[in-house]
Amino acid sequence: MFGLGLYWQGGLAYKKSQEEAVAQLQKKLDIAQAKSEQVNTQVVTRIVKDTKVIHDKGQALIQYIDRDVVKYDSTCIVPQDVIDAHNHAVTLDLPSSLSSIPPKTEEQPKPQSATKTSALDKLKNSIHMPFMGKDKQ
Amino acid sequence: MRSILLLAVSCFLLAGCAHKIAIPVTVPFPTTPPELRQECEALSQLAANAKLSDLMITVTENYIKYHECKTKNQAWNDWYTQQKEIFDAASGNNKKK
Repeated sequence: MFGLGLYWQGGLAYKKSQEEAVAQLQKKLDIAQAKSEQVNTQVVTRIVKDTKVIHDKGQALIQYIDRDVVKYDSTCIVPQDVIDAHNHAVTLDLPSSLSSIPPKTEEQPKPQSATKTSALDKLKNSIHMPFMGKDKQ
Repeated sequence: MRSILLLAVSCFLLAGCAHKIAIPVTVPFPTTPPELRQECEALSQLAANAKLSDLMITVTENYIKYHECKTKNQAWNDWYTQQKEIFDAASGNNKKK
């Protein structure tokens, strides 16, 4: 009887400790969920606010173009190639003519010593220096 | 005989300590708000024979779309970083290397 009682007591104590652990974890999760909701609200509020600012500034810029840039429409004609280049950049479709253009290669840097020597020679030739070999002749 | 019985009872009693029940609480990762799941808008193209002002307006509109998209992207990154910190802290995975 004593042994059985001890076993049940142990079982009850274990169950109680498990329940306490679950309750503690649940409390922790509730706090985490509240924090998570708070982050959601903050982020969404920021998106709405920033998008409105961007939209408003953009509209102001468009109004400025409509007011101040329109006057150059007649004097500055946009070539069709510029329009095509813009549209190709938007869609990232390369124009067919681009395949015939060779890829741009980087220029090899000239050796600096050669450049310096030639500059020095030019300087020597331009300046009269009696102590140099040339004038001794 | 008596000692065998005592041993059996002891084993029976200690068997209760051997098994550990998993705590039935799971931590789900939070769902992204719908505002963060929106795709970026497609860029505008110019019509043929567009004027200078049309070009400028289209370019400006495309820049606006870029800035909106950048804002959403930044917000998504911030949202994920903060939610992961909260999730790791709640689930006990916040071990720093």
